Amino acid sequence: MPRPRRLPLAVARLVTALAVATALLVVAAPLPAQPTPDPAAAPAAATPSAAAAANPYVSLPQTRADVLVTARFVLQVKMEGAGVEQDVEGEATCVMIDPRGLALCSNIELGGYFGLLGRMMGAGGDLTATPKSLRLVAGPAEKEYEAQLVTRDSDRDLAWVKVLDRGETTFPALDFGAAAEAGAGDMIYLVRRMDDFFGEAAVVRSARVTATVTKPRRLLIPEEPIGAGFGLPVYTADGRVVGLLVLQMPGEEDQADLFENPLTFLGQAARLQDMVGGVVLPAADVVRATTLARETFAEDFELE
Amino acid sequence: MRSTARLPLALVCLLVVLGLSLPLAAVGAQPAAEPAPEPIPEPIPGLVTSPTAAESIADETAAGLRDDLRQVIGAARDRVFPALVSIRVVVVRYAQGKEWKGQSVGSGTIVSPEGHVVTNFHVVDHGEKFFVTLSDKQEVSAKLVGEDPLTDVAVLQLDLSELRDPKQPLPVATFGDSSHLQIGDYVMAMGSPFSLSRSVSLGIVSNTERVFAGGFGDDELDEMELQDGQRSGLFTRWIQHDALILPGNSGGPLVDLGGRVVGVNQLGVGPMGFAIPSTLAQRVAEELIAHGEVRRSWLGLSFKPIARTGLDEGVLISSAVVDGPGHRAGVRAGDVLMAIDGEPLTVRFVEEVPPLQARLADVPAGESVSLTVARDGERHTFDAVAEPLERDLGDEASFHAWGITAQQLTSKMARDRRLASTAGALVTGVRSGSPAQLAEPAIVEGDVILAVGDREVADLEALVERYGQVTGDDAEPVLFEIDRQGKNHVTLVEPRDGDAVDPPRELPKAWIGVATQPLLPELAARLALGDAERGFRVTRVYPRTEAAGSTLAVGDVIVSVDGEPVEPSSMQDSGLLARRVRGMAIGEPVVLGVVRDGERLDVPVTLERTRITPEEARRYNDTDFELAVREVTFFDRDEARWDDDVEGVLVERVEPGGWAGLGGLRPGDLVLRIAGHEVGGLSDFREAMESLDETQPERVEVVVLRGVKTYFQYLEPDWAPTVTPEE
Repeated sequence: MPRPRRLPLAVARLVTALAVATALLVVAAPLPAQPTPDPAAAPAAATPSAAAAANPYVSLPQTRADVLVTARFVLQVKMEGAGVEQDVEGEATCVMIDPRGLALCSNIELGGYFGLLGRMMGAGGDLTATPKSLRLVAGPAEKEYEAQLVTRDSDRDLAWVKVLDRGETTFPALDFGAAAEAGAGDMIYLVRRMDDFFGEAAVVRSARVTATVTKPRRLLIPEEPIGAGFGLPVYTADGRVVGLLVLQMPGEEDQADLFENPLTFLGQAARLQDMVGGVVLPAADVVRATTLARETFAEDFELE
Repeated sequence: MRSTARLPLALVCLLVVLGLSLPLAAVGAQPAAEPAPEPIPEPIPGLVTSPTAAESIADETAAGLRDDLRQVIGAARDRVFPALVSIRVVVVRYAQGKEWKGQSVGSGTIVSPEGHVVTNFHVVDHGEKFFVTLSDKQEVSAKLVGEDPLTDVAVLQLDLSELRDPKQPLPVATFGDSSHLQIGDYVMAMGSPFSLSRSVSLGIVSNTERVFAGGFGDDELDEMELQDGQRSGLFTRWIQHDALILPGNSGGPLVDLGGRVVGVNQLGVGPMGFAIPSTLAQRVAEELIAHGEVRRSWLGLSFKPIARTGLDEGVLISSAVVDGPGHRAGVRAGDVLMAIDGEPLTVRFVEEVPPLQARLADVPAGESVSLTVARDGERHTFDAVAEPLERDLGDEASFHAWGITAQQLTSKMARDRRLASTAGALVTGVRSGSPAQLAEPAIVEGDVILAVGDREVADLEALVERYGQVTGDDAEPVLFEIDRQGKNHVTLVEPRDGDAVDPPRELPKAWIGVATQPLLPELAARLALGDAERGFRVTRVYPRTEAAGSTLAVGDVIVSVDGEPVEPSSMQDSGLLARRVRGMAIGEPVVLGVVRDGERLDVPVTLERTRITPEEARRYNDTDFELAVREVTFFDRDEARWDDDVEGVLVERVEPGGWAGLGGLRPGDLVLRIAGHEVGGLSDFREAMESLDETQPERVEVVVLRGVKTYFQYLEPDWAPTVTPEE
């Protein structure tokens, strides 16, 4: 029996990669920039009216939308072996966690999905995507600031980005240390901004926590996909932060033979459905990771 | 290798009819299939008879002819072969908004004692550096004397000072008269196919006035556009022959049995070769040597032979460019040209069109030519003043900081795009993610840049000048005014620090310096794990790690960490152990529960910091040598089994046609030493490159480790500033 040619395998792999990549890109579609804030809207620290407080779909956009910032960047995508080098414009919504200009983003949103894509395509580490020309659109004036990606935690899907020269600006920021616990059966809420076709209106999406898992780490599992992009904080109805919506995908070490055989992978791909909708990394874990990052790269985390 | 021109429809049809398959690269000639050898019949014993007298005479005659032919071919070969050269060109092309370097190869013939080499335009097109290998294998550099795209002829001149013995006369070939060639004449094609050393093939002339037309009733002359749209077939009637030519033969001589150059091979399709006749090539070469260009003129008229028109005489004017010299004089499409300067003419077949076009192109620019045409049964005579014939395509340049490539507009380009004038610079490409693409609205291919900032851009040169003025450190956003299909747009291009950046750093976590494989129950049962059903089998203990200092060994099965079981349930749990460890603190001592030879034991290990992976490694990009290198990581070292004393930087990318690429560096090479500087890491490499930038030596020795062998590579960078504004 003749040995099968290599091409169909490669083609199958590519088709599979593209299919999943498309799914990922759809799921990871970036959020639009924030609009100019409405002077009438309450700042982050303001207390919503009693009626609004009773209705998180009204109160959360008023009190929590201003901590969202937009990261704009250019992804330098390279596949050295194939001689491919391409710059791709990208955008992601992040959350400001320090009023002096430190934001937390989803690493996947900043190009992290290319690592997975590379493994799926059989390119491994040959396919890289490096964010450059990073800027954050933030603050009351919706100003664009030059920014720097300080470090990332691929395991937890976190990336820390700092504003390089904020001047006198102080940013509305979210304190993950003042967090609430949530568990199975609890409702959780997420604030996002719509496309500018809809005036970038801040809207709430909600889901019930259907489970908490401990593997690969402690995570809250929404009953259905809650986000339209990762790196967004998740709240209780009264506005206390529960955690951050992130994507948890297998790492390279988890894929011993996952991508070697496309047929195996197609079978395994069904398991991705538990991942692509996003999961909630508890606020305590966010705080721990941020503390570790700040300690490890203390100098780089210095804010003006 | 260069492909030459696109294939005319007629030729495609011909090949289809003949049942021939076309090579992928259209006109890139392919090796002919080797025919199955004819079996030689064995003589039957007892039936062998002596040849008759007549047969003996025939045999002798054949042998004599063969010897004569061999002598003739040998003599002809020896007259040209020493002057045959191989040409290597470093080319710079522009696509997708950036500059691309590469190499092309071809052949040529030395035609003067001063070292002039005749070759094809398409061999030297976009050339930045030219290297010529002579018959005695010396390679010398050359300069471009001139090129004539419209006939696909170019002339280089050797740098005689580089010859081993500059006083030694160069071998020179002589042109013959191709007008004496007849169908059936023997000819030899000489050249360097596939850039291999020189070779000769023999064939006969199949056609002496081959032209290409549309085919299937379309008898308009095909203009034979080269890759980028440059016409090359207006004045040429090729010599078609069957002496095999292949990619790399381009520009090589077609030689008659007298040892004279009767053509310049231009393209090959399967078994057919096509050469520019020497009568044309010689004249063009002489003009290029004398003037650096071929001066021709233009009336803006196109012609259709009358064979299918029902006309008896003259030639149909199929097109008259509006506002061209002919049109301004009063000539219109549909007129029948009956006489030029009172001399009657008839062009019945397409083969007669090139001589007519050549005749009109020979009218000196500025002089008047009398055109007598028939229109509606009457004759009219118009005096048209010939204008200089410009090149089809303009020069190009790359504008890195904006992320665009742009081209000088020529009259033909402006006409083809229906632009009102040649003012501005045509955008030929936009780099993805560049400031030009990120502008709102984005600049796109096909836009014509009319102004930058507050200054008009008259041409490409003006754009280059503006680029120098508005880019650089602290560059401000700059306003562009562009024409897009007749609409006037403005946009703001904001400079960005867009060059290569280091990959983001990963947050360090705890790590044990071992590689493992998950042991699932079925496999574990075969390995006598005692009461443990699952675990992680150590497949490698990395040297120079805390683990290497412990008692851990290959074959150990880790079943717990600090008493907590680690139990993979599927292959997807391959990372379970590492992930568990990453959740712990760097520097923390842990106890691993290990099964070794069926025995449970505790192995204390101190968790250490994760090592940098190749993806996270720091990079350095050198624009002079056009290569990117990165630091060597722990895992590179382990994979290659390099000891700590092996130091260097890894070549990650080499630009094709860049100086590092031309010098033989390859991705994966470990650079150990450069120009005498030992390279211990990225900082050493950067310092060495900065030092070279100051001293600018002619030759740079690079010592690399490739596999288990060291290699000495020699780079010869061009330190001169580039003429384009590419950074």
